Amino acid sequence: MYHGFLGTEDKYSLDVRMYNQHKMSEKYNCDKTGIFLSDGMFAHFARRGMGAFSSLGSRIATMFSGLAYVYVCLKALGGAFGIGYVTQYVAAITSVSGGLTQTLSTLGQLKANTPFLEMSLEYLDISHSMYKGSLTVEKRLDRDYEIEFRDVSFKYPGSDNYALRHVNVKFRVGERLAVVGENGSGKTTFILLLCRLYDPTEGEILLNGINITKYNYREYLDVFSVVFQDFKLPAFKLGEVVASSMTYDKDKATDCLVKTGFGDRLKELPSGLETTLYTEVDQNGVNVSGGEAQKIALARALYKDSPFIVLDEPTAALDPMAEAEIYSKFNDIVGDKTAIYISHRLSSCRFCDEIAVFDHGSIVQKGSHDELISETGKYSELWNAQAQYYTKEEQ
Amino acid sequence: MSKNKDKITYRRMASKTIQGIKILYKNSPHLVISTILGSIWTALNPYIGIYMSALIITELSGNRNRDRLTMLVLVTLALAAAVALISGLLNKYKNTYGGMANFFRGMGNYTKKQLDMDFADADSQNIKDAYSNITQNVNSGGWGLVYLLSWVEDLIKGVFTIIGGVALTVTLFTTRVPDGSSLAFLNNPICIILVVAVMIGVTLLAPMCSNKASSY
Repeated sequence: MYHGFLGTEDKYSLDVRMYNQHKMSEKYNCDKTGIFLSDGMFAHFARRGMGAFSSLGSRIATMFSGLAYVYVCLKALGGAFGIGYVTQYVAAITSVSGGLTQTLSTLGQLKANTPFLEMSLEYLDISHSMYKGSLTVEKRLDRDYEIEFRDVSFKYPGSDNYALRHVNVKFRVGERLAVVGENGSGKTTFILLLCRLYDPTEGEILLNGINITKYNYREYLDVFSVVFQDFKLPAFKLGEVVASSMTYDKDKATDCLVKTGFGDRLKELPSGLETTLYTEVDQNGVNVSGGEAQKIALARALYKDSPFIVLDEPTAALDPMAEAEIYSKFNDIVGDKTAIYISHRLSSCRFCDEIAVFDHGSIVQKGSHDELISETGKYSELWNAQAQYYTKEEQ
Repeated sequence: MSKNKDKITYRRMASKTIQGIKILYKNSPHLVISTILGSIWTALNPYIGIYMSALIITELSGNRNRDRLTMLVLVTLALAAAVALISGLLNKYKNTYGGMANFFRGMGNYTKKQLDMDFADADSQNIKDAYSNITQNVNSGGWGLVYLLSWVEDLIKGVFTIIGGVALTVTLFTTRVPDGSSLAFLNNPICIILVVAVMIGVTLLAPMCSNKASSY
């Protein structure tokens, strides 16, 4: 079946044509031993047991009708009842037979369905293993929240390797913290733990001195606005996507989009904030580029207006001009929030107050750019690896 | 999460089916109620026509009393109209909650569950594989929870068809052939039991053969 659908899938169309792969597809499709084809598995069964039992079943049902007619007519002939009752009894017996056949057949199907149903019920019965407290997160106008990682270690379920090891870090109010490191060093895991999408294996995470597990889960999540590296925007109206709600403040949504550099594009949209993103739901929807989607995602984070804003590669899909625009407006965008900023482009971390360098799940260095660049360590290694191509060009 | 391959007893089947129907009822009580009512009515309403037809034919082949015939015909017409009205109302009741929406509502159970799950579970490969299996089962043969109600509907229809048919057939076996007739042997209880046994046996054999064919 896969090979049959190869030609109708958009994503394969370029490669199939370029490399003549449709010929390979034809070979598989014409192979008669395919599961649904004339020499395949189903044909094999249909010619033997399956076919025999199926035809026997239908012939036996026909025999029953004949038997019913014979008995009823004999009794009528004998004078037990009149002709009217013949029609009644024949119809009723035939219906009973049909009902019995249907009942037994359905019971067979329900029996066959039981293992599949059990899988579904087991899935729906999965219980919550994460403890969720009920403490209310204090609403502070001064945004004086403090997050602390206290000797946090973490390994993913089913894994033997620690993704984070003995992480100790405290965020100051209004601080801009950059998180850098190689791929797989634990940066995104750090964010997932911070947002309590996972719980630490060891150690604890505190908000204003209290373990975050004690807080109401929904209220704790509301402390963070996050733009994940692999974020997704649903195919709703633009305003609804920014506000994550069907009712929203249009002025606030517009302001957030303008701050992230989407203002000019917004003016071009046929229905403004009422424009549907993508075409899955509305054929008049607008497909946005990766960079535009990133600006919308940023605007969504701003609209939520949480005390902490976490940006995981927020400019990865933006062109240099758009990226420069975001950097120049970073302070306006972030405001008085505490910001955590993950990036592979070390140059973009220079405007952060502090940089935490991750390596193999641990924070190996922490400090400002000038402090770290003067040390011999991971940060200077990463910096020099990136900067060498620019310095060579200058030379 | 894989299929439990232990022997499937009717008790296990009944327990899981009832559990599944309870979940569907919790999400859409009107769908379940309308389906059950509709299937009972669909099973029983043909017998009204059969019974009235038998009375009319008996009168036509017997006394041919004009007044009685007129009364029977009018009652039959009135009942036919009532049956059509009730059938229409029940269909409308069911269609308001059923149809394609049933599929999305059924799959919605899994969506709600996923959104309710801890992220650690939702992100787990085991859970993703389980959901993938469930979706494949639904798409390949309607197996699982989503189309369970349609099978239960068929079961209820079958059971009430039997009940209605038996109610109309009881007198077939209790009405006696006059003793002087050459066919009086049909009154013998052994003959009656034999006829019923053969009928039941033949009726049971047909679905057994179909189920055996399906098991391949």
